[in-house]
Amino acid sequence: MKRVPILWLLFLILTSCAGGGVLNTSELVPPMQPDYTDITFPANIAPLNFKLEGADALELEICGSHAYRFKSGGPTLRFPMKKWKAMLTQEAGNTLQLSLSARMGREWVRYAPFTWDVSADSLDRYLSYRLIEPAYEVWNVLSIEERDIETFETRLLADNTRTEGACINCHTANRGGGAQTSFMHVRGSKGGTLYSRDGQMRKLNTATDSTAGAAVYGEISADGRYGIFTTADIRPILHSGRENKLEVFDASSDLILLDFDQGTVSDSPLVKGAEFQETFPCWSADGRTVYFCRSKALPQPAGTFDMHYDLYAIGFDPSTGRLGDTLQLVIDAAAAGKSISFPKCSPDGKYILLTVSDYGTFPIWHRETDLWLYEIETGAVSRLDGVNGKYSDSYHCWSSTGRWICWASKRDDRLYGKPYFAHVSADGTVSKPFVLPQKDPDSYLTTLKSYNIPELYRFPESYDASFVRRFYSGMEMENMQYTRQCK
Amino acid sequence: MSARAGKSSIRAVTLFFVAVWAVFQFAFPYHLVMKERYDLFLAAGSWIAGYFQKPAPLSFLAGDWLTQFFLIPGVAALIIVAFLVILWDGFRHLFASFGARHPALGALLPVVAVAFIMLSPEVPLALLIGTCFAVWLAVAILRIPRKPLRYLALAALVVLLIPSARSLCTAARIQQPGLERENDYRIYFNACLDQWDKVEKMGARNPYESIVVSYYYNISLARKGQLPEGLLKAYQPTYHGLFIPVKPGVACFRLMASTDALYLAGDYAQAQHSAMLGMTFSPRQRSAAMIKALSDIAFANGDYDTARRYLKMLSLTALYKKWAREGLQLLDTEAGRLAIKNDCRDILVQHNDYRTSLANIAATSSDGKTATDYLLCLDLLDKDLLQFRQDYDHLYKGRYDMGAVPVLYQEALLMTFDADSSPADQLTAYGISRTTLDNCTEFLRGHEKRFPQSYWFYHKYAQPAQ
Repeated sequence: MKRVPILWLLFLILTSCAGGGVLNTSELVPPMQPDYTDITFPANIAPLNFKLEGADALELEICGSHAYRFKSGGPTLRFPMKKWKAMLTQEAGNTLQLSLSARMGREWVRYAPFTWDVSADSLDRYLSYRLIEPAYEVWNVLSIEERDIETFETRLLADNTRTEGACINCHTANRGGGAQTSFMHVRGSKGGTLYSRDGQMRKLNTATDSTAGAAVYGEISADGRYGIFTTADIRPILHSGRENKLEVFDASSDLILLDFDQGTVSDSPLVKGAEFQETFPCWSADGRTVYFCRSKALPQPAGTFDMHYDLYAIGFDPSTGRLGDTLQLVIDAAAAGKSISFPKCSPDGKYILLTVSDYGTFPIWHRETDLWLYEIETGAVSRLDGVNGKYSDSYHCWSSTGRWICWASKRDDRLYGKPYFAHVSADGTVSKPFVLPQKDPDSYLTTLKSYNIPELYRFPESYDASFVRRFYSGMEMENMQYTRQCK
Repeated sequence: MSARAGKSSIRAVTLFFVAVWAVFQFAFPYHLVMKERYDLFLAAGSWIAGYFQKPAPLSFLAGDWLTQFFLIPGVAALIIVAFLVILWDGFRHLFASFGARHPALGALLPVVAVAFIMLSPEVPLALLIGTCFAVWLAVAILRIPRKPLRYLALAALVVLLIPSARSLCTAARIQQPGLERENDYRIYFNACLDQWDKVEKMGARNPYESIVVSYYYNISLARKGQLPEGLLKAYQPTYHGLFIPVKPGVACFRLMASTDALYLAGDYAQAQHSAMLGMTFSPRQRSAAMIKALSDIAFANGDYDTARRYLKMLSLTALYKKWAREGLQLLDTEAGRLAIKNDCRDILVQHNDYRTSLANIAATSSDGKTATDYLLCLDLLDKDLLQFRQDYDHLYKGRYDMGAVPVLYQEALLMTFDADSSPADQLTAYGISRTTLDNCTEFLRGHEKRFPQSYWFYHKYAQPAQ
């Protein structure tokens, strides 16, 4: 009698082995979550763990310069870190052929093969993003995290539970080869702009009596000395129709130039005043031009649907710290019934990546919002059809090499942004995007936070949330002084 | 202690816990159910892993897992009392080891305090479980034979417990339980369960003249398309019972409740906003109830990808799983998807600007009857007869007045009639019945008390709610 359970156990073990069952083939690529089929990714990315809903077991065969096999006893395939790293080191620059088989009950299904291009162009190792509920115009608990994209490790850069609930936003680093410089705004009664350069931190009050307000969106020049910002007075409002939900408009917005070395704020009559609204400024790769969005100012919110922001440029002389005397219209978006936001110049100086929507200045809630790529020399615009998703794609940034872009895409569910990456080749071809891998691929489903303003940079940020608490409550504020630009 | 004294102690303790259970089960059951409304537990590895990045992971894991079953009647009181008994026993051992004379009775004192704190919906079950764990750990430490080690361990425990003690003190300052609040929670929960007959009956009574109760009473009427018919048959805190404004400082419970009327009126943007804020400002920024509301809103508005995300989340819960899976099946079939008419004009409105939004939905949406009724009732409860007449003429007349015009509207219309025009023509044009006209005459003759539910009475006597 004792033999019966042993035999039964043996039978169970044998029948549960992967080799059993019927083998079917599917002409479709596997419906894996996230979708990592036919993508290009950097050789230094963390394992692209994925899940195949309904699978009882998975077997992935990878063929490159060597053959690799990964197995899972459930619907989720988690690549062992060491094996993954070894594989990518071996295969950098190669195209891998993949074949995934999944056991569904008693049957095995082999899906159509797909490819992975392991790019030798490495991605900046660190990514920061803000985690906030999608109804973010009102917040309760929000944080900014730093993720090491080579592993799954994250570090808290800021957390508003330590800053009396104050809003924290816009962690942005400089591009180019200079010392890593970054800024982050901490609002609230004791807040200020946290300026970090080469490990030195300063708390800045960028508001002056002569400018419309404190610095909001902006960028730091490659050498870290200058910052170009908008003073946008941001107002949230709701839609009453059923297509869109939330809208944000600027009651007013001008551009301001910050000289961090001199501790000064300046501007130019060309980029301030009530007649036009100027926002989302960025530096060109050589730091000699500022690109920004500009629209004729209309009464808001009555005129919000008619606000169309064009792309403009104004010269900048880094030796004198002066903005130029003329404005240049770069893209007449209004003529096409479109509106441009978030221009970002590629570090090689060839492209500007833009967000384009139907109207307004804050398109992350517009379902039509897409990324477009503008080639500076030829003026050609690519609509990046294979890159944009069904819903808003925005808040993008370039890697320091200019070979990768990262942005917040709401393609999956319309509400929650996730960091997506795509490779940009030398000729401007942008590959199929893929989402930032997570240790547990389900974590995008179970989070109630949206990934907001993803930002790539090369070195770990020099502070953390504990420092930000001290920054908020105790650090002395430097008041920046307004200086008028001489003609 | 003698055996007799011991027995009477046990009897007293037993009686005490039965009394606590009775209070939880019969006096404040909805305070406990609200804990479930303020929480979410997903059976997913990534969700569970999240617990281990925060303090007291096991307490919160166990507490949140158990809290989801608070939806089942009677479970909440049983679970909480069970943990209170464990806590009491821990304290009893602790007091005994310090040589207390009546440890069993003395241990009841801290339990009373914790039981009172646990009545607050904002306080998670994890706090009770963590306290039990700490007390029993202290008991174990006190049994360490070597004194220096024992005192060291006790000191370490005290240091470790400082955050918990702080949480308990904070919890004690959270809104205290009350019967009026219990009634609000009860009507809210009945609405969540779609028990609208109960809601209507509760709303008609409204013993505490609660705004929340009026609000749900009005929703129960609007769901049947009878908002004007029943509006003045119950207490109305002027127009405050139609919508719950979303603004800083509003209790999370009210934020959550504010979603329902907006959803019913077809104002999906504000409804989604309210639900999102309800979740954002819930004690731990998560709520199964709000996720369900968000999936309903997304479904009704044709945002199927959003609905799918929320339904997938709910399919990982213990008690919403079946409902969510049915929803996902509906999404997968074309027939299950509602025919969404995106015919509502898109305009921008400020938060809580119900009038503008309702007027837009009523004017431009083909299914704007509920919005129209809400708008007209808003005008009437705000005693803005001029606006009512304008809205009625523009939005109701010729569209919804084919049958009998609701008496409420008839009564209000009579007050707006033009003295220079023919009364007979106006009566005919607006469908005023003979009865309404006679009642009006009676009212004007001074027999006001015969018409306490008339608009005339409301218009003359209603005062703004405090």
